[in-house]
Amino acid sequence: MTGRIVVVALLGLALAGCNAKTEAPSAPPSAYAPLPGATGASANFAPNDPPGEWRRQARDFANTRFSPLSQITAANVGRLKIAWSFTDGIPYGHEAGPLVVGQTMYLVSPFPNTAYALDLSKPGAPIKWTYQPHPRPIAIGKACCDAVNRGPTFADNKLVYSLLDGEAVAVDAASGKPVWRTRLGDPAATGMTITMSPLVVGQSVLVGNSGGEMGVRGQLTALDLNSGKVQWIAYSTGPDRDVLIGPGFRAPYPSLAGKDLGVSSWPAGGWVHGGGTVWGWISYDPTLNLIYVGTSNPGPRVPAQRPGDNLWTSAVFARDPTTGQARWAYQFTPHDQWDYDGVNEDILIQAPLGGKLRPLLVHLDRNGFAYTMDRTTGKVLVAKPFGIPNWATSIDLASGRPVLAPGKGAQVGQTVDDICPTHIGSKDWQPAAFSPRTGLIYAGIFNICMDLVDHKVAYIPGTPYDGMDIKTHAGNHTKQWGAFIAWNPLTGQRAWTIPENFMVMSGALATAGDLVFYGTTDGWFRAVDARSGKVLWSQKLASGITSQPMTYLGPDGRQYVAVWSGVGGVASQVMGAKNGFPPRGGVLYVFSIDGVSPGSAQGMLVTQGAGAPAGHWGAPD
Amino acid sequence: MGYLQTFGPRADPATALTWGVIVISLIVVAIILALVIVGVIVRGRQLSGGWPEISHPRSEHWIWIGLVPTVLALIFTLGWTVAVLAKINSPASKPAFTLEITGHQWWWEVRYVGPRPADTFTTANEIHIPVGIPVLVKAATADVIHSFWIPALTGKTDTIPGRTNLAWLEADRAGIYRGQCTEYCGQQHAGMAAYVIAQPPAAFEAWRQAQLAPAAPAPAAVAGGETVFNDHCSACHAVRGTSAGGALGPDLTHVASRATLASGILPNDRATLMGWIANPNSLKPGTRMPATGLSGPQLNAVASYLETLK
Amino acid sequence: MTAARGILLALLLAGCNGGPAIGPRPSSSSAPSASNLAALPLGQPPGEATLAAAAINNPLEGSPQAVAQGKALFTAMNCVYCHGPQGSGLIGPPLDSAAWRYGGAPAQIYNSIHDGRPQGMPAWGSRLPPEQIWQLVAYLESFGGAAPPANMTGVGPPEPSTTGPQVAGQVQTDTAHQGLEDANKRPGRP
Repeated sequence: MTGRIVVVALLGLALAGCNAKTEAPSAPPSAYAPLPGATGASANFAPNDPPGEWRRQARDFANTRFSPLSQITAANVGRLKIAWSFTDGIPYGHEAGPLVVGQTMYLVSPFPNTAYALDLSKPGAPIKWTYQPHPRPIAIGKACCDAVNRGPTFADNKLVYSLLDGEAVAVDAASGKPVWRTRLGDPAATGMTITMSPLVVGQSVLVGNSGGEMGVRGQLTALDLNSGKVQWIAYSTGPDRDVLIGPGFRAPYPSLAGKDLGVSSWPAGGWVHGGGTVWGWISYDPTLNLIYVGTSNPGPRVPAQRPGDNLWTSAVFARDPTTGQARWAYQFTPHDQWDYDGVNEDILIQAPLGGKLRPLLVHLDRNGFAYTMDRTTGKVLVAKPFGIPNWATSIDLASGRPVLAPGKGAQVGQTVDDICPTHIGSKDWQPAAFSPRTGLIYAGIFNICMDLVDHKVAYIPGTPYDGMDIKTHAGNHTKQWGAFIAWNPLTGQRAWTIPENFMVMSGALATAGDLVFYGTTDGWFRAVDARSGKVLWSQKLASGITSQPMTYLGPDGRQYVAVWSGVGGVASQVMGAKNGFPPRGGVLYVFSIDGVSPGSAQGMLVTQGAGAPAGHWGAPD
Repeated sequence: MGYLQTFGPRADPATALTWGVIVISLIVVAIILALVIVGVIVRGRQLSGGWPEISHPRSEHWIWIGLVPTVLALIFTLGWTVAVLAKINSPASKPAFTLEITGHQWWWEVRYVGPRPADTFTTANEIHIPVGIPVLVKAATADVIHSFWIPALTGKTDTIPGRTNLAWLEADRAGIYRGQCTEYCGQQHAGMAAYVIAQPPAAFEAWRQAQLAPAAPAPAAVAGGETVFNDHCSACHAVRGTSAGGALGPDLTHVASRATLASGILPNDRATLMGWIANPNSLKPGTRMPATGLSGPQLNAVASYLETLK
Repeated sequence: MTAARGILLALLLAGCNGGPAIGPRPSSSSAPSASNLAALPLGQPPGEATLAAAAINNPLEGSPQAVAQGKALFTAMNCVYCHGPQGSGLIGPPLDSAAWRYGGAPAQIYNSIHDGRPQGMPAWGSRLPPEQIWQLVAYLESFGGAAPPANMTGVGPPEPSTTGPQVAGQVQTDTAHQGLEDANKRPGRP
């Protein structure tokens, strides 16, 4: 164990001397080696970025959020202390994670979506540059769930991210100057906003949209990485030519086969304002050359107004990233009556299942079921409840459709009690992590149910197309509104559970140190033993955590863990009234063993202002 | 006496029952009258010497003679009524589609729901049905109690807040059948008419297909009118295929295909349309539609646009 | 011409005012009527309503029918899904407290509805006739948070102009905070 730490540390030091554009050496295989008792699942960690870096929100194309760094382990995690911190002074919910490339950390704030580059080589990580895009404030009141942003992505020396008011922007990573800005929608006219983190595949920037609550028609757009020009647009509803369903499409189940289902599974014309926005995560399989991306709830949220399956909402698409053409699609919640968006991350793993090694897609849906699917065909192999869904009793693997439970359908003008999960699901966008060492998926989840009454609603552009009146409560008559779980994607069972009094709405981070990190909405940041689920370390932060923790290797060769605190988003809407829920305010915390960082030594802070002698790591030059 | 003439299997048995009960009643009345008259004449002659004793053993027979036929007649009409109710409770064949009829103050929202989701569309006040094919009616209300009644085709169906009442419609002859709200529902209760237009199946299908289509893109000549509509009317009225999706007033996707305005009380011609938009209250006092305050050119433009919504 | 006849009929009938109007009459005869709306300075920057404008009373002040109609409009125009049931706040700010971003006098509320506001509030001026906007104002006044019309002291200082895109982000962020904190206190939905 110690030997491995030394190896990784040395590697980190070597890398620290390197430039960001240096070709990444592959990480030591031991970082990915399964531990005894692992499930046998592994993953492709393409594009195999340098181990100490974090270039996109999920770190890799497979959306594992697994870092090969292993300096911090169960043995020393108890010594984690705050190394430095940073605030953007923004009160909106912080749902992004930082990126680290070379010696620079990149941050994007919630609205007004300011980008910061911080110099990690200097004490206190001072600001290298700031980019202020000035998005239009009209978007604040159009975003359903707070003026959030889920972070930038790094590619080709550009920082690419979305602006709340419906734009995508690429910023030169060295200078902070904008390279291009592309407007994808008008929040004032339609209510469309963008909160998601784009993914760059090859020369394409893939960016979706938000606004399912406003009847915004879902779309995934590919932009040219160099120019920002539109390459293709794939809509989530409408005729096949809009959805980019062509001859190459293979329906995994008969109910998904047919011409123009995105029109015929709606009342006449309903698809035009039918939602299905693309506000979640995109993953990419370079071997199959397919991207995987989910779509949101249908609009309006009142199901009585839209008979039919409402394709292709609450679904997942496999698409060719160069053309956008769909290979297959699968609908998690046909005719969604409860706001169960299908946008949660799709984690791409491979594992022996059914007697052979298969490329799999694991998706913990808002609807409370976890799906393990064959990602070449879209067939569901395992579908088990990871939450406490009571709207359906099971998923029928023969038809691919849920078996609806009686008495839980939404009713206009009539309250239906105790529907589980609630409208934000058993798990929302907060992404899970996967560790190849245990073969488990780690996820923060909710234990929340609702009493629901629907009201008929009109489509008025730029206003909510909603109609759901919801009262939430903790599920199973407990007081635990959340939990953090380890999930076996092959058997469809929980390996362990950590109950939490407040909902867990932070992303998860898994490391080769066999630790898993997550935060709670009441502000506790925790490190957990990946195998046993034992909480090894907890630190209370200023505000609640609804962001995405990450880890990186500093220029000094040390492993750091970074996370935004700054509660908001849907967490504040659902739990804000609960006693003890923290106030807002965005602060980035960076942790290291004993809190050591460039500029600090033996508890003494060395800064430029203090005229400190040079000679320590990263001291002022 | 329009309601004594009926044209469908839901109404015909009730009409027969109505006539039957009337005839039975008339016969009973005639017999009683005859007996009374005979009694008066015959016994009058016998009464020349003053009133007889009240008690007469033979008079008890008359109680039985009166009671038995009356009870038989009542049982017969009761049985007939029950049989008619059973017969009109459900149609002979499975309904082809469902009409969700929602009463509003003061108009009828009509939503067609077919076997496939994409058969669903919404219109108002004018209900087209195919001749000879039963249609299920689900009657509800958006506000107060109304009652849906097409006298020549079906009985009254109340619309009760929080409830959905079932009925069905079938016409065996093509034609236009007037209907009316028959539960007092406010100032314009009397101005809450509906029409059922029964068409041969082929014509109905053509109408249905036309209604299913979204509004055709506005011709350039009326683009200004579409803008006026979207700015001033779309928060309450929907035109499918455009951004107008309001739900307070009737769906206007194919308003030009309708013969009437304001729930069947005004002809749908340009003059009335413009007058209606300019000041709805003057034509239908109490209507929920507010005066829009449009200028003359705006009125002209929006009327021209609405006329294209065929 | 039939067209001319129809319009003439409508206008004549409007003039004679034989049928009852949609809304109720003002409770006070001294209150300005809805037709006096020309006095309202529409379209001005937020928070800068003049004293004259703020002194304008709601012509439907205190009318239960107007409150009921306003409540129906509050739902039908989708206000409820931003401002919450009973105006308790959700995506948009709460409307039931004395804290108003753009002033709580009836005319200021009218302006907010008519013109829209920079952080997402749509402009309803063309979509809703004045009488319907006053009905909405009457409903919002029924929550008890609105300021009396002639009394500007309770309204709070004018907020900075947000016309320039350069400052919009910062200013909006600051003013948003209060609304967010208000919304924080209430359960809701995304």
